[in-house]
Amino acid sequence: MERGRALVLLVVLASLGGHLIFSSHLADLRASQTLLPAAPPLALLEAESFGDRQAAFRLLALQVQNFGDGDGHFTALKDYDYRRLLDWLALLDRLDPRSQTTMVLAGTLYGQSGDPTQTGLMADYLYHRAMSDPVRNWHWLALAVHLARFRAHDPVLAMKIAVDLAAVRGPGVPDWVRDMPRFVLARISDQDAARQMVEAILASRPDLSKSLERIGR
Amino acid sequence: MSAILRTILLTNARDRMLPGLWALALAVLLVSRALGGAMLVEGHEAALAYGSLSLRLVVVGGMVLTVCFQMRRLQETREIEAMLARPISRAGLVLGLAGGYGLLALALALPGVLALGLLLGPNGAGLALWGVSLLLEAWVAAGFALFLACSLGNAASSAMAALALYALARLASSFHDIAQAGMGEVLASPVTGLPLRLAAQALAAVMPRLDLFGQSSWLIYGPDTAWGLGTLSIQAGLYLPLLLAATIYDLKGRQF
Repeated sequence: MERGRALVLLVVLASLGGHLIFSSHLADLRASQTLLPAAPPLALLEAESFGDRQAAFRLLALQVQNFGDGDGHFTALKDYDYRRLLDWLALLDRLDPRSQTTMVLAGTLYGQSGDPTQTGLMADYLYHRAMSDPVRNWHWLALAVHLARFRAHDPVLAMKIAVDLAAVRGPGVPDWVRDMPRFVLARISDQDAARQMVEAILASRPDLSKSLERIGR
Repeated sequence: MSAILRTILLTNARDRMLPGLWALALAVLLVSRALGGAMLVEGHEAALAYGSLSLRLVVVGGMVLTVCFQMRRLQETREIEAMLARPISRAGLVLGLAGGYGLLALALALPGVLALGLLLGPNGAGLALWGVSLLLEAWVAAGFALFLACSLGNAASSAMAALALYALARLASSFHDIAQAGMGEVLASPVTGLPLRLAAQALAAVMPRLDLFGQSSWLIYGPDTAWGLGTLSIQAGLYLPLLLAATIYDLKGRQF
C-alpha cells in the first residue's frame, strides 16, 4: 500500500475511533422536551396542515396519545398538566368534530389518573363533548358518570351528567340509562361499579368489545 | 408531438423512475397502515389519513423531481434542440412535454390510488374523488416544474422553487385568512399591517387553491366537503393553461 493511502486510512480510523469515544458520552443527551407543550392556535395548525385538516388531526391525535411516552421514558399521569391537555383535546375536536378519538383519550387513557381533580376534568370534558351528539355518544356519558362519581368523587357533577343522560332518547340508547341517577346514589365500590358499567355498555353495544379489548391491552 | 411523448416515456422507462416511485408509494402505504395500528382507536381512519398524506407527497414530489431533472438532462444532451429541429413549434414542444408528463403522472398516481384502495379500504366514492383530485394536483405541480425547469435551467433550483410554489399553493387559504383577519401583532400594526395584508392578498389571489385538493377526510367520511370535482376541475382547468402559456412565452424568447 502506498504511503499516502495508508496515511488517509489512518486518519479515517482515528476519526472513527474519536467519534465512537465521543458518541458514548452523548448517549444520555436528549433535546429538551416539554412534557405537554401549550396547544398551538388553530390558524397556525391549519397553515401547518397545508390544507389537509384530517391528516393534521390524525397526526396530532397520535402525538396527544403518546405525550410523555417515548425514547424509553414513561410519565405518570399525575405529572401532566391537564389544563393544557384540555386545550389539546379542544383543538383536536375543532379539527374533526366527528371522530371519537378525543373521547377515547379522555375517557380511557387520561381519565384513568389516580388524581381526583384530573379525573374530574376529564369527566367534565367527556360530558360536554359527548353532549354534542348524546344519542351517538350515550356510552361516553355513562363513562363520564362513572369517572365523576367513583374516581373524581364529585357526586354533583356525576348527578348532573346522569340526569342529562337519563333524558337521552333515540335509536340504540338502552333503557337502563334512565337509571343512571340511581347508579350515582348507589353505595357500591369503584370496582363493582366499573364492572357493572362495562357489562351494561357491552350488552347494549357489543360492537365496542373489540375496542375495549384493545384499550385494555 | 407523438415523438416528444415517446421520448418522455422512453426516458423514464430507461431511468426506471416509475418502478422506483411505485415501490416508494407501496412502502409509505404499508408504513401508514402500521402507524395506524399504533392508535388506541380509529386506527383504520388514521392509516387512511397517513396514507393519503404520504402518497400525495410521493406523487407530487416524484413528479416535480422527475420533470426538473429530466428537463435539465434533455437540455444538456441537446435533445431539446433535436426536437426543435423537427417541424414543430415551441408551443407544440411545450404541449408535447406537458402531455408526456401528464401521462407519466397518470401512470404514477393510478397504481398508487389502487394500492391505497386495496391496502387501506377507504370510502369508495371518496377514493374516486381523491384519486382524480390527486391527478389534477400532480398535473398542476408538474406544470409548475415544467415552467421553472424551462426558465431557470438548473435542475436543483427549479425543483426547490417548484416545491416552494406548491407549498404556497397549499397555503392559499391561510393567506386569505391572514389578509382578512390580520392575525398577529405585525399585521395589526397600522404601519406594517396594510402592505403585509396586501401582499398576502396578492399571493392568495395568484396561487391556485391546491389546499382544496386531496382531502384525507374524503377517504374516511366520503366526499362531504362544500366543494367537489367541479370546483377542482375548474381550478386545474384554469391554472394549467396559464402555466403552459407562461412556459411557451418564456421558451419563445430563449435561444438554443
